[in-house]
Amino acid sequence: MPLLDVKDLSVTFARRGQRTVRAVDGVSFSVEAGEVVGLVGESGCGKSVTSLALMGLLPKQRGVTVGGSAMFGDTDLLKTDERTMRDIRGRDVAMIFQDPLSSLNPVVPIGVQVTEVLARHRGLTGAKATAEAADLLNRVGIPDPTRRLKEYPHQLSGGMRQRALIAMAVACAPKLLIADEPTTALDVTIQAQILELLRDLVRDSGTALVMITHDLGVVAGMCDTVNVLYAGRVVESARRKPLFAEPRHPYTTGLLGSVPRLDSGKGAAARDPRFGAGRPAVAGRVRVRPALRPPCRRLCR
Amino acid sequence: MTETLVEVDDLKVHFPIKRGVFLDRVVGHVKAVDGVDLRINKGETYGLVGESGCGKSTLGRALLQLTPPTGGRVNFDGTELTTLPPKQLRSMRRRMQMIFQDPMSSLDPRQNVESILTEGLQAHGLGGSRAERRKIISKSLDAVGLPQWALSRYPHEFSGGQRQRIGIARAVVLNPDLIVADEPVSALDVSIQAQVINLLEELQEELGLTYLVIAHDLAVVRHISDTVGVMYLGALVEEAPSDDLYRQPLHPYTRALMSAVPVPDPEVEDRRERILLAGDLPSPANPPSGCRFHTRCPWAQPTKCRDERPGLRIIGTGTHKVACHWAEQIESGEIRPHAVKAEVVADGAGAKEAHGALHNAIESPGGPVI
Repeated sequence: MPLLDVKDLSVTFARRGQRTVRAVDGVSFSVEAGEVVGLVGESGCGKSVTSLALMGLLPKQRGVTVGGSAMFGDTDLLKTDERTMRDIRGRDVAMIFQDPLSSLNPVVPIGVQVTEVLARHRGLTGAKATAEAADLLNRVGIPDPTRRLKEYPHQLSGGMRQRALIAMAVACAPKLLIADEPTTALDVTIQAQILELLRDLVRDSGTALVMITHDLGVVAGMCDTVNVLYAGRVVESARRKPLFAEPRHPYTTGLLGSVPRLDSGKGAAARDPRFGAGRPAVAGRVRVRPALRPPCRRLCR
Repeated sequence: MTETLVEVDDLKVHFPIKRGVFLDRVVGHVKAVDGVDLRINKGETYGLVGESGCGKSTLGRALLQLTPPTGGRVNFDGTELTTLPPKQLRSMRRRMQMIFQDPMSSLDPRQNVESILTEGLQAHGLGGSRAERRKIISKSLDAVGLPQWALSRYPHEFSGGQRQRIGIARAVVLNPDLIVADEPVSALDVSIQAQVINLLEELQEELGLTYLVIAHDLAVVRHISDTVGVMYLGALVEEAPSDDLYRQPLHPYTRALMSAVPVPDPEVEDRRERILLAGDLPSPANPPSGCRFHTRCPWAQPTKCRDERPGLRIIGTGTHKVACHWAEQIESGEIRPHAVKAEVVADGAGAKEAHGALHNAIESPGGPVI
């Protein structure tokens, strides 16, 4: 039995006077224990909304409807009440957000934010919690952790902030980590550090990781299974190597073709026989047409 | 023989760090650009790469005299720009245009596309009558692949990729010689990135443009550049023809940078060697002595790297330039990499103010998103 089994997840946003938007439209995927699963797609394809729905972070009212199921052990993450969800969040399922500056509280020292998790789920307080927090910061590679605990988010660099956020996420050794674009806001050398850290954490602790990203390169280096999302649907799902070696869906082919690669020179993409003589670019942009539901959403491109 | 269009000599841009309420005392300088030489040939593309805070955007702006340089010379097609009187500089600007990173903040939301495109023509007294101007504008719209009805629309009515096309049209409409593109695609989705890059290449062929492309994405830069310069803390550490640089990076920083870029191919990803840099970029207000990179360099050798600042020197026969004392020895494997302990980047008073100064200095559409 998989650790997380998402079936037919759909999320719609309704507003009075406007057409209903179906941001996620029947997404299904599963995550085995210790596995790294990638969700890739361009902006607007519904990858972040998927993660928010799984974490129960979408508002329950104001026209937001979440359908389908997400079985995590015996509990359905989409249907549990808020009280149980609070116990699960942070302890069993944790999340790493894209922008650490806006997901950390700017007026609270890092130490307090990390120990908050420890107090809520592991009952640690006082000096014990502080020691554990310092240990966590050390584990994610923050030098001089005892001093950093007293500092505020703005005093840390982008990479350090992301490390602090990861420390908070792994504080309770969750079974599942959801990372929503964890390295998008960072420079490449810092990105490499963070990815290496995530790889180590996953390997050492056996945590399963759902990696949400738009970067196919990140996926190629990290994920065991990859789901390609387009306009709210999974258009292709495959193991890492087959997906890149022989993409089956035209959108995946287009996406792979449009990425300028470090190991190909000026104008090389145009010469690549896989994409013919034409431009590798996918024309136009993602269109969400709520009323219109063609059998294949890529029809209009 | 290729002709040189832009020649930059020992360019420096230092931003003062000020402190005090009534009397601003200058307590130090952020050396955003600290002694850069480069030349760009006519019709070619020069790619400038580096991480955020390395000074690449400031260099681009100083080259166009949008930020006054502290020292050094910029020669544009035989004219010295740093000493040019403002009036002449203004008319010179027609020939050098800029494309900004974020098209939403570099286009005025209250101006329609026609007005955006006409403004430059009017400022330079080009195009004569209204009808003629309209003709020029619609031609540039065609060139960037936008429909004619776009003229009466406002920026918010377009998608990110289309907005960037408007930004490009605004630059192209003046028929410039040089375009400085500061992160032209980093705000866009990958499939849209490819469209914009292709467009830039097409325009270059059609109009014989010269580009200075500033980007943090090495893959994008490799894709469009003839020559690539790598910047670290305000100085060039390596410069070479695009293919040479990517086939054989010689500077330790370039190696680390390249090994950090994920390649969308699992076979490559599993095989490649990863060089992880320790720590963060040091503060440009208080750069390390000697080689700027020695605090993070896995190949750093005692004393010489710390004491002596290496200049760009030619390696081999060609045009591959590196600023490293030990480039040959590292290449031949004589010097082996060693582990580096992450240094805590000084965040005392100096660094924080430096940050503030940088913020003030680059709070403009072209500035990097921090």
